[in-house]
Amino acid sequence: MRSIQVLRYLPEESPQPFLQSFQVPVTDSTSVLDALNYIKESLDPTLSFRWSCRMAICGSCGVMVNGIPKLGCKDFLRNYPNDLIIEPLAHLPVERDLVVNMDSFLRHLEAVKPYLIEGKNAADSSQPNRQTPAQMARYQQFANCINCGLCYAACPQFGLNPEFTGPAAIALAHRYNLDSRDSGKAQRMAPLNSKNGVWSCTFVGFCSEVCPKGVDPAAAVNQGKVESAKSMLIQLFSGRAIGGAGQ
Amino acid sequence: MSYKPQLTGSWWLKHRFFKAYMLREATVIPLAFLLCSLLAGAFSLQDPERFQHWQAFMSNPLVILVHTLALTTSLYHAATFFVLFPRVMPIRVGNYQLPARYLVLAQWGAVWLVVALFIWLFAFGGQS
Amino acid sequence: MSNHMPKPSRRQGLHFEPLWWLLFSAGGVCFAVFVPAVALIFGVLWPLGIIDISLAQLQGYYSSLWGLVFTGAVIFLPAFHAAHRIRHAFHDFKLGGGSTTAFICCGTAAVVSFVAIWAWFMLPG
Ligand code: SF4
Ligand code: FES
Repeated sequence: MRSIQVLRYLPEESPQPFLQSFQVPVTDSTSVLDALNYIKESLDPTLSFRWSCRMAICGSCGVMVNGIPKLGCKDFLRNYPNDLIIEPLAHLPVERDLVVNMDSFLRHLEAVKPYLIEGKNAADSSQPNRQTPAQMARYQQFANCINCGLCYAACPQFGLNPEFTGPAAIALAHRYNLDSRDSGKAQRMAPLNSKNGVWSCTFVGFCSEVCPKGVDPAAAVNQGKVESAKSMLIQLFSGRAIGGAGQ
Repeated sequence: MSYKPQLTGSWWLKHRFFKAYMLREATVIPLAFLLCSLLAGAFSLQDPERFQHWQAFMSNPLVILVHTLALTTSLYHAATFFVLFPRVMPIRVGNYQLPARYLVLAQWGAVWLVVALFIWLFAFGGQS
Repeated sequence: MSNHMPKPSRRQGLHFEPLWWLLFSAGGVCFAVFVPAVALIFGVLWPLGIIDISLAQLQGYYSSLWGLVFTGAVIFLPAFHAAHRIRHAFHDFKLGGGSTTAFICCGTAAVVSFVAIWAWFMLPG
Protein backbone atom coordinates (compact mmCIF):
# COMPACT_ATOMS: atom_id res chain seq x y z
CA MET A 1 0.00 0.00 0.00
CA ARG A 2 1.10 3.54 -0.61
CA SER A 3 -0.49 6.93 -0.45
CA ILE A 4 -1.31 9.10 -3.45
CA GLN A 5 -3.01 12.46 -3.63
CA VAL A 6 -5.72 13.46 -6.07
CA LEU A 7 -6.97 16.97 -6.73
CA ARG A 8 -10.75 16.75 -6.31
CA TYR A 9 -13.34 19.18 -7.56
CA LEU A 10 -16.95 18.59 -6.57
CA PRO A 11 -18.76 21.83 -7.42
CA GLU A 12 -21.93 20.90 -5.49
CA GLU A 13 -19.91 20.30 -2.31
CA SER A 14 -17.25 22.96 -2.44
CA PRO A 15 -16.47 25.75 -4.90
CA GLN A 16 -12.73 25.17 -4.37
CA PRO A 17 -10.71 22.19 -5.59
CA PHE A 18 -9.01 20.28 -2.77
CA LEU A 19 -6.36 17.57 -2.41
CA GLN A 20 -7.44 14.20 -1.07
CA SER A 21 -5.15 11.33 -0.02
CA PHE A 22 -5.85 7.69 -0.75
CA GLN A 23 -4.11 4.45 0.20
CA VAL A 24 -3.78 2.19 -2.82
CA PRO A 25 -2.17 -1.24 -3.27
CA VAL A 26 0.86 -1.22 -5.58
CA THR A 27 2.87 -3.72 -7.56
CA ASP A 28 5.57 -3.06 -10.09
CA SER A 29 2.98 -2.85 -12.86
CA THR A 30 0.40 -0.57 -11.22
CA SER A 31 -0.34 2.31 -13.56
CA VAL A 32 -1.67 5.69 -12.50
CA LEU A 33 -4.94 4.69 -14.17
CA ASP A 34 -5.02 1.40 -12.20
CA ALA A 35 -4.66 3.41 -9.00
CA LEU A 36 -7.51 5.73 -9.99
CA ASN A 37 -9.71 2.74 -10.86
CA TYR A 38 -8.91 1.16 -7.50
CA ILE A 39 -9.98 4.34 -5.72
CA LYS A 40 -13.23 4.50 -7.68
CA GLU A 41 -14.09 0.82 -7.16
CA SER A 42 -12.99 0.34 -3.57
CA LEU A 43 -12.68 3.70 -1.81
CA ASP A 44 -14.74 6.49 -3.32
CA PRO A 45 -17.17 5.90 -6.20
CA THR A 46 -17.65 9.65 -6.69
CA LEU A 47 -14.16 10.10 -8.21
CA SER A 48 -14.48 11.20 -11.85
CA PHE A 49 -11.89 10.67 -14.57
CA ARG A 50 -11.82 9.61 -18.22
CA TRP A 51 -10.37 6.47 -19.66
CA SER A 52 -11.16 3.83 -22.22
CA CYS A 53 -8.47 1.75 -23.92
CA ARG A 54 -5.90 1.55 -21.10
CA MET A 55 -3.23 1.04 -23.78
CA ALA A 56 -2.21 4.53 -24.92
CA ILE A 57 -4.44 4.53 -28.00
CA CYS A 58 -7.65 6.38 -27.17
CA GLY A 59 -5.99 9.44 -25.67
CA SER A 60 -8.67 10.04 -23.03
CA CYS A 61 -6.78 9.44 -19.77
CA GLY A 62 -4.50 12.50 -19.72
CA VAL A 63 -3.74 13.90 -16.23
CA MET A 64 -0.98 15.92 -14.59
CA VAL A 65 1.29 13.64 -12.56
CA ASN A 66 3.48 15.72 -10.26
CA GLY A 67 2.86 18.67 -12.55
CA ILE A 68 3.73 16.95 -15.83
CA PRO A 69 1.12 15.89 -18.40
CA LYS A 70 0.97 12.10 -18.70
CA LEU A 71 -1.33 9.37 -19.95
CA GLY A 72 -2.59 7.65 -16.80
CA CYS A 73 -2.44 4.25 -18.50
CA LYS A 74 1.16 4.71 -19.72
CA ASP A 75 2.64 6.05 -16.49
CA PHE A 76 3.48 3.79 -13.54
CA LEU A 77 3.52 4.31 -9.79
CA ARG A 78 6.98 2.72 -9.62
CA ASN A 79 8.30 5.88 -11.36
CA TYR A 80 7.35 7.92 -8.28
CA PRO A 81 8.96 6.47 -5.16
CA ASN A 82 8.13 9.58 -3.12
CA ASP A 83 5.16 11.93 -3.46
CA LEU A 84 2.57 11.42 -6.13
CA ILE A 85 -0.02 14.09 -6.90
CA ILE A 86 -2.57 13.62 -9.66
CA GLU A 87 -4.29 16.72 -11.02
CA PRO A 88 -6.47 17.49 -14.05
CA LEU A 89 -4.73 18.55 -17.29
CA ALA A 90 -3.46 22.13 -17.11
CA HIS A 91 -4.67 25.07 -19.22
CA LEU A 92 -8.18 23.70 -19.70
CA PRO A 93 -11.34 24.38 -17.64
CA VAL A 94 -12.00 21.63 -15.07
CA GLU A 95 -15.56 20.29 -14.93
CA ARG A 96 -15.16 17.78 -12.13
CA ASP A 97 -12.21 16.06 -10.40
CA LEU A 98 -9.90 15.01 -13.25
CA VAL A 99 -12.37 15.71 -16.05
CA VAL A 100 -11.46 18.74 -18.18
CA ASN A 101 -13.46 20.50 -20.84
CA MET A 102 -11.76 19.77 -24.18
CA ASP A 103 -13.97 22.11 -26.25
CA SER A 104 -11.28 24.70 -27.01
CA PHE A 105 -8.86 21.94 -28.03
CA LEU A 106 -11.47 20.47 -30.37
CA ARG A 107 -12.30 23.90 -31.78
CA HIS A 108 -8.65 24.43 -32.71
CA LEU A 109 -8.47 20.97 -34.28
CA GLU A 110 -11.58 21.64 -36.33
CA ALA A 111 -10.28 24.99 -37.55
CA VAL A 112 -7.33 23.43 -39.41
CA LYS A 113 -9.49 20.84 -41.28
CA PRO A 114 -7.49 17.76 -40.27
CA TYR A 115 -8.72 15.45 -43.06
CA LEU A 116 -7.93 14.87 -46.72
CA ILE A 117 -9.46 17.56 -48.86
CA GLU A 118 -10.16 16.57 -52.43
CA GLY A 119 -8.98 18.64 -55.32
CA LYS A 120 -6.47 18.35 -58.07
CA ASN A 121 -4.33 15.92 -56.05
CA ALA A 122 -7.21 13.46 -55.64
CA ALA A 123 -9.19 14.04 -58.78
CA ASP A 124 -11.24 10.86 -58.99
CA SER A 125 -12.49 9.45 -55.70
CA SER A 126 -13.61 6.21 -57.36
CA GLN A 127 -9.96 5.30 -57.93
CA PRO A 128 -7.55 4.06 -55.25
CA ASN A 129 -5.39 6.89 -54.03
CA ARG A 130 -1.86 5.62 -54.49
CA GLN A 131 1.10 6.85 -52.49
CA THR A 132 4.75 5.81 -52.57
CA PRO A 133 6.62 4.96 -49.34
CA ALA A 134 8.70 8.13 -49.82
CA GLN A 135 5.55 10.26 -50.03
CA MET A 136 4.19 8.60 -46.90
CA ALA A 137 7.47 9.07 -45.01
CA ARG A 138 7.10 12.83 -45.32
CA TYR A 139 4.13 13.01 -42.96
CA GLN A 140 4.00 9.69 -41.13
CA GLN A 141 5.50 10.91 -37.87
CA PHE A 142 2.85 13.62 -37.56
CA ALA A 143 0.06 11.11 -38.25
CA ASN A 144 0.59 9.28 -34.95
CA CYS A 145 -1.32 11.82 -32.86
CA ILE A 146 -4.07 10.39 -30.62
CA ASN A 147 -5.53 13.80 -29.68
CA CYS A 148 -4.80 13.30 -26.00
CA GLY A 149 -4.14 17.02 -25.44
CA LEU A 150 -1.04 16.46 -23.28
CA CYS A 151 0.85 18.91 -25.48
CA TYR A 152 -1.73 21.64 -24.76
CA ALA A 153 -1.30 21.06 -21.03
CA ALA A 154 2.48 21.32 -21.56
CA CYS A 155 2.40 24.47 -23.68
CA PRO A 156 2.78 27.74 -21.73
CA GLN A 157 1.88 29.73 -24.85
CA PHE A 158 -1.51 27.98 -24.94
CA GLY A 159 -1.81 28.58 -21.18
CA LEU A 160 -1.11 32.29 -21.71
CA ASN A 161 -3.26 32.60 -24.83
CA PRO A 162 -6.09 30.06 -25.24
CA GLU A 163 -6.66 31.35 -28.77
CA PHE A 164 -3.31 29.88 -29.85
CA THR A 165 -4.09 27.08 -32.33
CA GLY A 166 -1.65 24.93 -30.37
CA PRO A 167 0.72 22.00 -30.95
CA ALA A 168 -1.51 19.04 -31.91
CA ALA A 169 -3.77 21.03 -34.27
CA ILE A 170 -0.80 22.58 -36.07
CA ALA A 171 0.95 19.19 -36.23
CA LEU A 172 -2.17 17.70 -37.82
CA ALA A 173 -2.51 20.60 -40.25
CA HIS A 174 1.12 20.04 -41.20
CA ARG A 175 0.51 16.30 -41.55
CA TYR A 176 -2.24 16.90 -44.14
CA ASN A 177 -0.32 19.67 -45.88
CA LEU A 178 2.52 17.19 -46.42
CA ASP A 179 0.23 14.47 -47.77
CA SER A 180 0.53 13.96 -51.54
CA ARG A 181 -3.19 13.01 -51.74
CA ASP A 182 -4.36 16.28 -50.20
CA SER A 183 -5.34 19.52 -51.91
CA GLY A 184 -6.44 21.55 -48.91
CA LYS A 185 -3.29 23.46 -47.99
CA ALA A 186 -4.66 26.80 -49.17
CA GLN A 187 -7.59 26.46 -46.78
CA ARG A 188 -5.40 25.44 -43.84
CA MET A 189 -2.87 28.24 -44.24
CA ALA A 190 -5.29 30.98 -43.23
CA PRO A 191 -5.58 29.91 -39.55
CA LEU A 192 -1.89 28.91 -39.48
CA ASN A 193 -0.73 32.27 -40.87
CA SER A 194 -2.61 34.28 -38.27
CA LYS A 195 -0.88 35.60 -35.16
CA ASN A 196 -2.70 32.95 -33.12
CA GLY A 197 -1.45 30.28 -35.52
CA VAL A 198 2.17 29.18 -35.84
CA TRP A 199 3.47 32.63 -34.86
CA SER A 200 2.40 32.31 -31.22
CA CYS A 201 4.97 29.56 -30.67
CA THR A 202 8.35 30.34 -29.04
CA PHE A 203 9.71 26.79 -29.36
CA VAL A 204 9.56 26.02 -25.67
CA GLY A 205 9.52 22.43 -26.88
CA PHE A 206 7.85 20.87 -23.82
CA CYS A 207 4.96 19.64 -26.02
CA SER A 208 7.31 17.28 -27.84
CA GLU A 209 8.84 16.21 -24.56
CA VAL A 210 5.50 15.05 -23.11
CA CYS A 211 3.92 13.65 -26.28
CA PRO A 212 3.28 9.94 -25.64
CA LYS A 213 3.40 9.14 -29.35
CA GLY A 214 6.67 10.76 -30.46
CA VAL A 215 4.84 13.15 -32.77
CA ASP A 216 7.26 16.06 -32.13
CA PRO A 217 4.55 18.73 -32.52
CA ALA A 218 7.13 21.49 -31.84
CA ALA A 219 8.99 20.49 -35.00
CA ALA A 220 5.71 20.57 -36.95
CA VAL A 221 4.85 24.03 -35.65
CA ASN A 222 8.25 25.39 -36.60
CA GLN A 223 8.25 23.73 -40.01
CA GLY A 224 4.86 25.41 -40.24
CA LYS A 225 6.55 28.78 -39.67
CA VAL A 226 8.71 28.20 -42.74
CA GLU A 227 5.59 27.26 -44.73
CA SER A 228 3.65 30.22 -43.40
CA ALA A 229 6.46 32.65 -44.22
CA LYS A 230 6.53 31.28 -47.78
CA SER A 231 2.77 31.43 -48.10
CA MET A 232 2.58 35.03 -46.90
CA LEU A 233 5.42 36.08 -49.19
CA ILE A 234 3.72 34.46 -52.16
CA GLN A 235 0.49 36.21 -51.25
CA LEU A 236 2.21 39.56 -50.97
CA PHE A 237 3.86 39.32 -54.37
CA SER A 238 1.26 37.43 -56.36
CA GLY A 239 -1.92 38.63 -54.69
CA ARG A 240 -3.14 35.05 -54.78
CA ALA A 241 -5.19 33.38 -52.06
CA ILE A 242 -3.37 32.65 -48.80
CA GLY A 243 -1.36 29.46 -49.09
CA GLY A 244 -1.24 29.37 -52.85
CA ALA A 245 -2.71 26.44 -54.73
CA GLY A 246 -1.75 23.65 -52.31
CA GLN A 247 0.94 21.05 -52.90
CA MET B 1 -19.72 24.95 -13.29
CA SER B 2 -16.02 24.71 -13.87
CA TYR B 3 -12.81 26.37 -12.73
CA LYS B 4 -9.68 27.24 -14.65
CA PRO B 5 -6.44 28.09 -12.86
CA GLN B 6 -4.79 31.12 -14.49
CA LEU B 7 -1.10 31.19 -15.30
CA THR B 8 0.85 33.85 -13.42
CA GLY B 9 3.95 35.59 -14.77
CA SER B 10 6.10 33.17 -12.78
CA TRP B 11 4.82 29.95 -14.39
CA TRP B 12 8.31 29.21 -15.67
CA LEU B 13 9.66 28.72 -12.13
CA LYS B 14 7.53 25.63 -11.64
CA HIS B 15 9.48 23.16 -13.70
CA ARG B 16 13.11 22.41 -14.56
CA PHE B 17 12.30 22.30 -18.26
CA PHE B 18 10.78 25.79 -18.20
CA LYS B 19 13.73 27.17 -16.24
CA ALA B 20 16.06 25.84 -18.93
CA TYR B 21 13.83 27.55 -21.50
CA MET B 22 14.08 30.88 -19.68
CA LEU B 23 17.84 30.47 -19.35
CA ARG B 24 17.95 30.00 -23.14
CA GLU B 25 15.92 33.16 -23.62
CA ALA B 26 18.12 35.03 -21.12
CA THR B 27 21.28 34.32 -23.13
CA VAL B 28 20.44 37.48 -25.10
CA ILE B 29 21.05 39.73 -22.05
CA PRO B 30 24.87 39.32 -21.97
CA LEU B 31 24.69 39.34 -25.77
CA ALA B 32 23.03 42.76 -25.72
CA PHE B 33 25.84 44.05 -23.49
CA LEU B 34 28.50 42.64 -25.81
CA LEU B 35 26.80 44.24 -28.82
CA CYS B 36 26.92 47.64 -27.13
CA SER B 37 30.61 47.16 -26.30
CA LEU B 38 31.36 46.25 -29.91
CA LEU B 39 29.37 49.23 -31.15
CA ALA B 40 31.46 51.50 -28.97
CA GLY B 41 34.54 49.78 -30.36
CA ALA B 42 33.46 50.39 -33.94
CA PHE B 43 33.26 54.12 -33.19
CA SER B 44 36.55 54.21 -31.32
CA LEU B 45 38.51 53.12 -34.40
CA GLN B 46 38.41 56.65 -35.79
CA ASP B 47 40.72 58.12 -33.23
CA PRO B 48 43.66 56.66 -31.24
CA GLU B 49 42.65 58.38 -28.02
CA ARG B 50 39.11 57.00 -28.17
CA PHE B 51 40.56 53.60 -28.98
CA GLN B 52 42.57 53.74 -25.75
CA HIS B 53 39.44 54.60 -23.81
CA TRP B 54 37.69 51.66 -25.37
CA GLN B 55 40.58 49.35 -24.53
CA ALA B 56 40.47 50.58 -20.93
CA PHE B 57 36.72 49.95 -20.80
CA MET B 58 37.12 46.44 -22.24
CA SER B 59 39.83 45.69 -19.65
CA ASN B 60 37.68 46.65 -16.69
CA PRO B 61 37.42 43.43 -14.62
CA LEU B 62 33.65 43.75 -14.39
CA VAL B 63 33.35 44.16 -18.14
CA ILE B 64 35.62 41.14 -18.69
CA LEU B 65 33.35 39.20 -16.36
CA VAL B 66 30.22 40.10 -18.34
CA HIS B 67 31.96 39.27 -21.60
CA THR B 68 33.08 35.91 -20.20
CA LEU B 69 29.44 35.37 -19.33
CA ALA B 70 28.52 36.34 -22.90
CA LEU B 71 31.00 33.77 -24.19
CA THR B 72 29.52 31.06 -21.96
CA THR B 73 25.92 31.89 -22.78
CA SER B 74 26.66 32.08 -26.50
CA LEU B 75 27.87 28.48 -26.28
CA TYR B 76 24.75 27.51 -24.31
CA HIS B 77 22.64 29.24 -26.93
CA ALA B 78 24.53 27.33 -29.63
CA ALA B 79 23.91 24.02 -27.88
CA THR B 80 20.15 24.72 -27.70
CA PHE B 81 19.91 26.26 -31.17
CA PHE B 82 21.82 23.65 -33.17
CA VAL B 83 19.53 20.81 -32.14
CA LEU B 84 16.50 22.80 -33.31
CA PHE B 85 17.80 23.25 -36.84
CA PRO B 86 17.37 19.63 -38.03
CA ARG B 87 13.86 19.66 -36.55
CA VAL B 88 12.78 22.86 -38.30
CA MET B 89 14.51 22.03 -41.59
CA PRO B 90 14.89 18.26 -41.84
CA ILE B 91 17.02 17.26 -44.80
CA ARG B 92 15.59 14.38 -46.74
CA VAL B 93 16.90 12.92 -49.95
CA GLY B 94 14.24 10.58 -51.34
CA ASN B 95 13.73 7.95 -48.64
CA TYR B 96 16.89 8.88 -46.79
CA GLN B 97 16.63 11.18 -43.80
CA LEU B 98 19.96 12.79 -42.96
CA PRO B 99 20.57 11.97 -39.27
CA ALA B 100 20.19 15.03 -37.06
CA ARG B 101 23.51 14.46 -35.31
CA TYR B 102 25.47 15.12 -38.52
CA LEU B 103 23.78 18.49 -38.87
CA VAL B 104 24.48 19.31 -35.22
CA LEU B 105 28.11 18.27 -35.58
CA ALA B 106 28.50 20.32 -38.77
CA GLN B 107 27.26 23.42 -36.93
CA TRP B 108 29.71 22.88 -34.06
CA GLY B 109 32.39 22.45 -36.70
CA ALA B 110 31.47 25.90 -38.02
CA VAL B 111 31.84 27.41 -34.53
CA TRP B 112 35.36 26.00 -34.09
CA LEU B 113 36.28 27.02 -37.62
CA VAL B 114 35.32 30.63 -36.88
CA VAL B 115 37.22 30.54 -33.57
CA ALA B 116 40.29 29.23 -35.44
CA LEU B 117 39.90 31.92 -38.10
CA PHE B 118 39.72 34.70 -35.50
CA ILE B 119 42.72 33.36 -33.61
CA TRP B 120 44.69 33.16 -36.85
CA LEU B 121 43.65 36.72 -37.78
CA PHE B 122 44.31 38.36 -34.44
CA ALA B 123 46.93 36.25 -32.68
CA PHE B 124 48.98 35.58 -35.78
CA GLY B 125 48.12 38.72 -37.72
CA GLY B 126 46.64 36.70 -40.54
CA GLN B 127 50.11 35.38 -41.45
CA SER B 128 50.88 31.71 -41.77
CA MET C 1 -19.02 22.89 -48.17
CA SER C 2 -17.36 23.98 -51.37
CA ASN C 3 -13.65 24.61 -51.71
CA HIS C 4 -14.27 27.84 -53.49
CA MET C 5 -13.01 30.86 -51.62
CA PRO C 6 -13.52 34.49 -52.50
CA LYS C 7 -10.29 36.02 -53.73
CA PRO C 8 -8.80 37.76 -50.69
CA SER C 9 -7.11 41.09 -51.00
CA ARG C 10 -3.37 40.93 -51.39
CA ARG C 11 -2.64 42.13 -47.87
CA GLN C 12 -5.46 40.43 -46.02
CA GLY C 13 -4.18 38.66 -42.91
CA LEU C 14 -0.56 39.67 -43.47
CA HIS C 15 1.62 40.90 -40.60
CA PHE C 16 5.30 41.30 -39.79
CA GLU C 17 5.82 38.16 -37.68
CA PRO C 18 7.49 36.18 -40.52
CA LEU C 19 9.98 39.00 -41.06
CA TRP C 20 10.87 39.23 -37.34
CA TRP C 21 11.14 35.46 -37.20
CA LEU C 22 13.46 35.25 -40.22
CA LEU C 23 15.71 37.92 -38.71
CA PHE C 24 15.53 36.09 -35.37
CA SER C 25 16.54 32.80 -36.98
CA ALA C 26 19.37 34.26 -39.03
CA GLY C 27 20.51 36.14 -35.93
CA GLY C 28 20.35 32.93 -33.89
CA VAL C 29 22.72 31.23 -36.33
CA CYS C 30 25.14 34.19 -36.18
CA PHE C 31 24.88 34.36 -32.38
CA ALA C 32 25.82 30.68 -32.21
CA VAL C 33 28.48 30.57 -34.93
CA PHE C 34 30.24 33.97 -34.83
CA VAL C 35 29.62 35.47 -31.39
CA PRO C 36 31.61 32.85 -29.39
CA ALA C 37 34.79 33.70 -31.34
CA VAL C 38 34.18 37.44 -31.07
CA ALA C 39 33.46 37.27 -27.34
CA LEU C 40 36.57 35.12 -26.84
CA ILE C 41 38.93 37.41 -28.76
CA PHE C 42 37.64 40.90 -27.92
CA GLY C 43 35.94 40.20 -24.60
CA VAL C 44 38.46 37.88 -22.96
CA LEU C 45 41.82 37.20 -24.66
CA TRP C 46 42.64 40.76 -25.70
CA PRO C 47 41.61 42.50 -22.44
CA LEU C 48 43.58 39.90 -20.46
CA GLY C 49 46.63 40.67 -22.56
CA ILE C 50 46.91 37.14 -23.91
CA ILE C 51 46.82 38.46 -27.44
CA ASP C 52 47.72 41.91 -28.66
CA ILE C 53 45.60 43.79 -31.16
CA SER C 54 46.73 47.10 -32.60
CA LEU C 55 44.51 49.95 -33.75
CA ALA C 56 46.08 49.91 -37.21
CA GLN C 57 45.31 46.23 -37.61
CA LEU C 58 41.68 46.71 -36.58
CA GLN C 59 41.30 49.73 -38.83
CA GLY C 60 42.72 47.72 -41.71
CA TYR C 61 40.28 44.85 -41.24
CA TYR C 62 37.25 46.89 -40.32
CA SER C 63 37.44 49.49 -43.08
CA SER C 64 37.40 46.76 -45.74
CA LEU C 65 34.21 45.13 -46.94
CA TRP C 66 34.78 42.48 -44.25
CA GLY C 67 33.97 45.17 -41.71
CA LEU C 68 30.51 45.42 -43.19
CA VAL C 69 30.14 41.62 -43.15
CA PHE C 70 31.20 41.67 -39.48
CA THR C 71 28.64 44.40 -38.73
CA GLY C 72 25.90 42.35 -40.39
CA ALA C 73 26.77 39.00 -38.82
CA VAL C 74 27.85 40.10 -35.35
CA ILE C 75 25.77 43.23 -34.67
CA PHE C 76 22.76 43.63 -36.99
CA LEU C 77 21.38 40.05 -37.03
CA PRO C 78 22.15 39.18 -33.37
CA ALA C 79 20.52 42.48 -32.36
CA PHE C 80 17.28 41.42 -34.04
CA HIS C 81 17.63 37.97 -32.49
CA ALA C 82 17.89 39.55 -29.04
CA ALA C 83 15.00 41.94 -29.74
CA HIS C 84 12.72 39.04 -30.68
CA ARG C 85 13.54 37.06 -27.56
CA ILE C 86 13.16 40.05 -25.25
CA ARG C 87 9.83 40.88 -26.80
CA HIS C 88 8.55 37.32 -26.28
CA ALA C 89 9.91 37.32 -22.73
CA PHE C 90 7.63 40.28 -22.01
CA HIS C 91 4.74 38.18 -23.23
CA ASP C 92 5.89 35.20 -21.15
CA PHE C 93 6.06 37.36 -18.01
CA LYS C 94 2.58 38.73 -18.81
CA LEU C 95 4.03 42.24 -19.16
CA GLY C 96 2.84 42.95 -22.69
CA GLY C 97 4.45 41.44 -25.75
CA GLY C 98 2.00 42.85 -28.27
CA SER C 99 2.66 45.27 -31.11
CA THR C 100 3.92 48.06 -28.82
CA THR C 101 6.55 45.81 -27.26
CA ALA C 102 7.46 44.52 -30.72
CA PHE C 103 7.80 48.07 -32.00
CA ILE C 104 10.08 49.10 -29.11
CA CYS C 105 12.26 45.95 -29.25
CA CYS C 106 12.64 45.76 -33.02
CA GLY C 107 12.98 49.55 -33.18
CA THR C 108 15.92 49.42 -30.75
CA ALA C 109 17.54 46.68 -32.82
CA ALA C 110 17.03 48.78 -35.96
CA VAL C 111 18.66 51.82 -34.33
CA VAL C 112 21.62 49.74 -33.12
CA SER C 113 22.05 48.29 -36.61
CA PHE C 114 21.82 51.69 -38.23
CA VAL C 115 24.41 53.17 -35.87
CA ALA C 116 26.72 50.20 -36.51
CA ILE C 117 26.53 50.66 -40.26
CA TRP C 118 27.10 54.38 -39.81
CA ALA C 119 30.26 53.65 -37.78
CA TRP C 120 31.54 51.56 -40.66
CA PHE C 121 30.88 54.37 -43.16
CA MET C 122 32.63 56.89 -40.93
CA LEU C 123 35.91 54.99 -41.18
CA PRO C 124 38.02 56.19 -44.05
CA GLY C 125 39.10 53.23 -46.06
S1 SF4 D 1 0.71 15.70 -30.51
FE1 SF4 D 1 1.19 14.10 -28.96
S2 SF4 D 1 0.70 15.12 -26.99
FE2 SF4 D 1 -0.30 16.33 -28.59
S3 SF4 D 1 -2.39 15.50 -28.72
FE3 SF4 D 1 -1.16 14.41 -30.26
S4 SF4 D 1 -0.43 12.54 -29.22
FE4 SF4 D 1 -1.17 13.95 -27.61
S1 FES E 1 -6.95 4.94 -21.47
FE1 FES E 1 -6.76 5.22 -23.64
S2 FES E 1 -4.90 6.35 -23.76
FE2 FES E 1 -5.00 5.88 -21.65
